Amino acid sequence: MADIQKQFEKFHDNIRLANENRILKEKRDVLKNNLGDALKKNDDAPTVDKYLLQGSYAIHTGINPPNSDYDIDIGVVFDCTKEAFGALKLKNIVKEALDHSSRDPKLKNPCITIQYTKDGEDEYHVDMPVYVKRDDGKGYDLAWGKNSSSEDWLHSDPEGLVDEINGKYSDEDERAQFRRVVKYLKAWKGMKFTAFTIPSIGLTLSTWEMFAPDIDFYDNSKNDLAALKKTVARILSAFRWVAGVEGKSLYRLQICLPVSPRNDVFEKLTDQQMTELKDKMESLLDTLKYAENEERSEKACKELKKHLPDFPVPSTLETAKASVLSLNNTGSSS
Amino acid sequence: MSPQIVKSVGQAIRYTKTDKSRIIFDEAVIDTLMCYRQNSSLKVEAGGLLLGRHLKGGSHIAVDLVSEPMRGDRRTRTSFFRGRGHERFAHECWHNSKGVFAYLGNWHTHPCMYPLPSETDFDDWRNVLKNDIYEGKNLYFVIVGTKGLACWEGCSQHGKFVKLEEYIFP
Ligand SMILES: [Zn+2]
Repeated sequence: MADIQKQFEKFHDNIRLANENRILKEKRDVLKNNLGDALKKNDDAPTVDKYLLQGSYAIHTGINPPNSDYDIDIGVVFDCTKEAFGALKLKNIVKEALDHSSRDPKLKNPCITIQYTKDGEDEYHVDMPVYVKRDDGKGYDLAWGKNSSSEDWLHSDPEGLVDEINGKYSDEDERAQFRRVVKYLKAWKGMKFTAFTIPSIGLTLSTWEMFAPDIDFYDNSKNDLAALKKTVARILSAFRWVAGVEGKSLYRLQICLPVSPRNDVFEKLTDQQMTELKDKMESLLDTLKYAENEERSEKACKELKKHLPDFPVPSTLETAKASVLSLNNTGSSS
Repeated sequence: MSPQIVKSVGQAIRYTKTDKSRIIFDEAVIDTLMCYRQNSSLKVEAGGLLLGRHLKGGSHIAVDLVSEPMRGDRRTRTSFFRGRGHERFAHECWHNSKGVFAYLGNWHTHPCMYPLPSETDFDDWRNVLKNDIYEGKNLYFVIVGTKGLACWEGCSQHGKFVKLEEYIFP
């Protein structure tokens, strides 16, 4: 078996989004200040109770986006309950406060989105969900919708989700390996799915439920290849047959949010799209199995590179030990 | 024992060594060896050296390339004389790879389906095991039959040759 943990670590360094990414933190702070100042000028606006760090930043599974359009999730919680405002009314108050010559906030069902561009290219975007408090103190009510027909309040618990995900692994090494495996699968999805998107939270929660760590009990050495392989195998075994269409079987994987509203995070994907996810994951698993068997590291890494973007491939020379200069006699065979 | 059936092009072949690790013949090596199969009465015997890597982190061996018949060899339908040129080739590989590509053994062809070493073959194998210079204490010997190849491991410590079993991934 090829030992390619070093290559996995290098790959991880390439894809990971550094948590201390200062620029993104600055953008968040600027946005918070702007929003706070603008809301103060509006007498109708409720006061901000706090901001929530959510999304992959909060669970340390952020990766550099393939198209370099960074995604910042920042939730805003208002110090009121849903009785005080209509969901759409409140979202519009926030949208107007964010409106600015250089910004063009847009209403989406779960949030307000602001796309920032640089030299005509998308540079990053901010998704801002708007929450109000609940009398029972269990999470928040999320302002949902972008028009009067979709408008609603949805019970949501973003902090509970972060706590659930971050709290599952008490062992520091296992938690770090879990986060790496999530990042590998997100990088894989970025490379393999272009026609439609697999929600990142789906891969994150699938891994969270099915994660199989691989850390040596005695010397604590990590085997990310084995952890990824076992996790993918477990996820695949959780797919269920749902229908047969024109001789082709269709499958789904159902993974529910562990907190309210506890919906299936893959619910927006069609049966065909879920089956495509399964097919591509099976092909990934085949390659992971091959890489585990292959003795020659450079061959294993070359195959992995077909599934994991820019996976590092060692040179043939660095995979071998030095040898003596030979002496070769001539000889006859028959 | 039956010979290994020729694989579809583009497949490495592995054998389990006596220490339970493996010797891997790269697909390009297999393709080259297959070209020299004596599968027509016009083809004469061929041979050369096995060259490649002692892989890190264990004792697997990768055969990455072979030397092929060249000037200074003598070839008939049933005999092959390996000349001096093969050592020069091995030394070039060693230098170009900064001392990594090692001499691992030798190969030759037989015009029959079930390759078995002749007395002449054993003499050569014993001679190189004893008098050549190489890394470690083993050399590997391949005979290419008309249907496929077979591989023997030679040990310099007791001068014995063991036919190796093909290894298939579980
Ligand atoms: Zn022979």
